[in-house]
Amino acid sequence: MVYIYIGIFGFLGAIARFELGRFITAFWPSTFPLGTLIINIVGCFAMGLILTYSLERLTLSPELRLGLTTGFIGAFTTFSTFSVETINLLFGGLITSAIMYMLVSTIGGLIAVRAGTVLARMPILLVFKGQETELENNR
Amino acid sequence: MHYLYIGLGGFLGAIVRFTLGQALSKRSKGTFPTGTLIINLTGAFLLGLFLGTPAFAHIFGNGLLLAITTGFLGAYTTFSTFSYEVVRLAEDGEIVNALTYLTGTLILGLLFALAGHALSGMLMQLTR
Repeated sequence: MVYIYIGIFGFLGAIARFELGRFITAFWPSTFPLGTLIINIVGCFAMGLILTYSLERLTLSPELRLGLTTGFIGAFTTFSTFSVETINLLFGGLITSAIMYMLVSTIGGLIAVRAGTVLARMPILLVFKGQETELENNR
Repeated sequence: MHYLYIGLGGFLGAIVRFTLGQALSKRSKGTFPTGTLIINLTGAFLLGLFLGTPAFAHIFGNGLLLAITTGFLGAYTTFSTFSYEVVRLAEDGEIVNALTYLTGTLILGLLFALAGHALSGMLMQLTR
């Protein structure tokens, strides 16, 4: 059953990546792969937020949690395109762009995951009654 | 129609990543995310291969190539899990593992994409 969840969410994640990528490239056409950069950083933030929130606070069914995180966000973000785009920049002689792309993707991704994690642990996001005490008991 | 190709590629890519990731993490000991590393490197290699020459567009057609590249390989590899695992390792105080995983993935990812691209060029030469 979990395979169906991951597959269907992966279906949607891949389409969302394609559409958002096209949208960003249409808005800001350039040789710099801004589309993948934004997609990966947004995905990292969502991964930090949703994975942390669902593991530490909200009891989602494992199927839904894996569908959203491994399925949707996992398929939405991409490492292969990121790598191929970097070597294409290098092939095009755009060394500075290639280095910038790698640095901003990586450091931006890490900061985004961390930001999502921190936000997920904020008391503001305690929507459900009794979660605070549950959290205290777990400590 | 493009949506269906990309969606079905993404459906399979996400399932293969999950299945392979679980199988690999059962085999490897410790906390180092070997599963995601192998997945991302093989995916970078294959994307370099399939995008390295226009010949594949002729062989598969644009729709199927989009399903393989943007759909399957895009969804098979993942940037978010990679970043999450780096932060996780760092949070757990495993700084050396976090840095090794981070730089290893980035540098090997480039080399694997490059190798795929080179193989693509070689195949083009052979089939000429």
